[in-house]
Amino acid sequence: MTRMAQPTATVPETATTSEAVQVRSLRGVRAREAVMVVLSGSLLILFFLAVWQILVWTGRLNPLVFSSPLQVAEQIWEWASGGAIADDIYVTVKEVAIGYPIGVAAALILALMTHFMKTFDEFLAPMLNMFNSVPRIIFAPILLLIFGLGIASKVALVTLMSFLLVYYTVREGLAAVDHHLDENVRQLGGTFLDALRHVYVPAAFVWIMSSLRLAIGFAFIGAVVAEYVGSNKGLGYLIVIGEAKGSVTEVVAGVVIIVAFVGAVNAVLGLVERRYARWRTA
Amino acid sequence: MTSAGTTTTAAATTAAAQMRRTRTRRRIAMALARLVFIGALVAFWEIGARTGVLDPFFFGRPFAAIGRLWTWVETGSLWGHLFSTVGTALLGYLLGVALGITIGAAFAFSPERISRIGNGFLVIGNGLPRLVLAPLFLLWFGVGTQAKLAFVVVVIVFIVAMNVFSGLRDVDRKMIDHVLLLGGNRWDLARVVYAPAIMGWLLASLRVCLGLSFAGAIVAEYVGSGHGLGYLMVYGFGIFDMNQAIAAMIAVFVVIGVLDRLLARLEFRVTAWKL
Repeated sequence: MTRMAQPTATVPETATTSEAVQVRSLRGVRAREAVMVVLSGSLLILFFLAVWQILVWTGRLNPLVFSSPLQVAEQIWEWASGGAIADDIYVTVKEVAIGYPIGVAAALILALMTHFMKTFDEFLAPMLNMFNSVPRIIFAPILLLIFGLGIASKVALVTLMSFLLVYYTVREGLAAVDHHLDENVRQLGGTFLDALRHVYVPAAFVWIMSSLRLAIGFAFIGAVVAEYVGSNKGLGYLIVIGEAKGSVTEVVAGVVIIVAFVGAVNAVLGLVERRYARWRTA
Repeated sequence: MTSAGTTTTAAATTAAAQMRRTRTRRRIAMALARLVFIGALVAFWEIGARTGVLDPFFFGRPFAAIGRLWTWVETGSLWGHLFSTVGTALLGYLLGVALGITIGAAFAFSPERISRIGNGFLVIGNGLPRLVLAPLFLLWFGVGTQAKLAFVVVVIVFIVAMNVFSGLRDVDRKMIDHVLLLGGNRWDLARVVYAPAIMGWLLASLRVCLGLSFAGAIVAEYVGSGHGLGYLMVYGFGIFDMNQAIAAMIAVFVVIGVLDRLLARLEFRVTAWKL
């Protein structure tokens, strides 16, 4: 998509038009396009919900098999007023909130080690790649056996998933650091620790921030799936209990809550990401 | 190699041969180091389990787990489960790709309004964490292969459709103009411009998407199924048999590892022309 494809009608044709004004209206156009996408998507969802509800009302769809938007809304309301949602969201969020930072810390340390010690990197790489090629979700039952049904097992899975994702991201980030910066630090009399503090760790953090959305998304999925396998609390627990009861309404309601929550988290993180990436000229 | 600079060429070849020797020696040393490392871990685990340092109830015993796996292979009970998981993942992937290409292409070539709605639909579908939908499919299709297959298809479809959609829409106009200018019709366009674009993306994403199909199959088995490697793991979890779960996990590792290697080699051969 080239710049020329975008409408320039909004830009005044005067000779004194500053670049800033042009950039601002282009940004406005892009923002408007994004809003259009979200709007059309939401309209589509509303349309789909309406069709669904009508089909259930007219008897075309069996509500026991497919549930209906109203039933789902009712179920969510019931959960919300009972406080169940708050408790379970809290549990799942806690699992991610504890697991993710641990994974990041471990990934950062290991990435720094493998970046600077090439032999160690060569030694470790195939084994890490083997762990990476497998969908990490398969570790769920094993971790559940080791750590039990409580939060610890979910935290462990989240840590594992975050660790692998962030490790590769940070490695990439460290490799992308301009070696001139390191040389500058040395020339100004800095030690290796100074270089770490002022060049490498900040670079790693920028890359971690840019992968935050993806990593936390995966972390949530991991936490919920681990709860599917075995748990006594959490959003995944709500869903699985609904499934055991054979209640499509509860399952759909739980899924809706998860999707809404992950969507909200994504949106917030998107804003955070944009704020952190503001220094980029791209 | 001419006779003119034999001494220098001889020196050059021995230098090159020496470099190759040190490189091979290094690679062997690395492989040995890794084997020793893994061997030490397994030994520590096994001895720990036998002496009770590591409670075998929680951690299992590696040789017991391997023994269990071997029993499965011997009695033939492993293969049914293995084919269930692998078959579902592969078939689900193929169906998902076929459906995804159809949907993506349909939206890409529709009039502007429908295209935009399609875009919104695909973006939302992609933003959904589809792996969490597993219990829904199990309620709808019941416990069995259909649920797994449908689930894997849905997981894959949105990714493929979205990428095919954007790929087809972002094709360089110049290429289309060239083909039309040279007298091509729409079939030629599809053959020369669109199909390679789609195939290119498919090959590049093959490993990731297959990994995702396996994840989908296994998660579906976790949530409810009577067959498959994921079922074996969850069954082991249910009866608190760590060795069973570990044996199943080793099987998964081996299967996916082999597949991943094959795909890596395929990917290399296909993209080797790229610099």
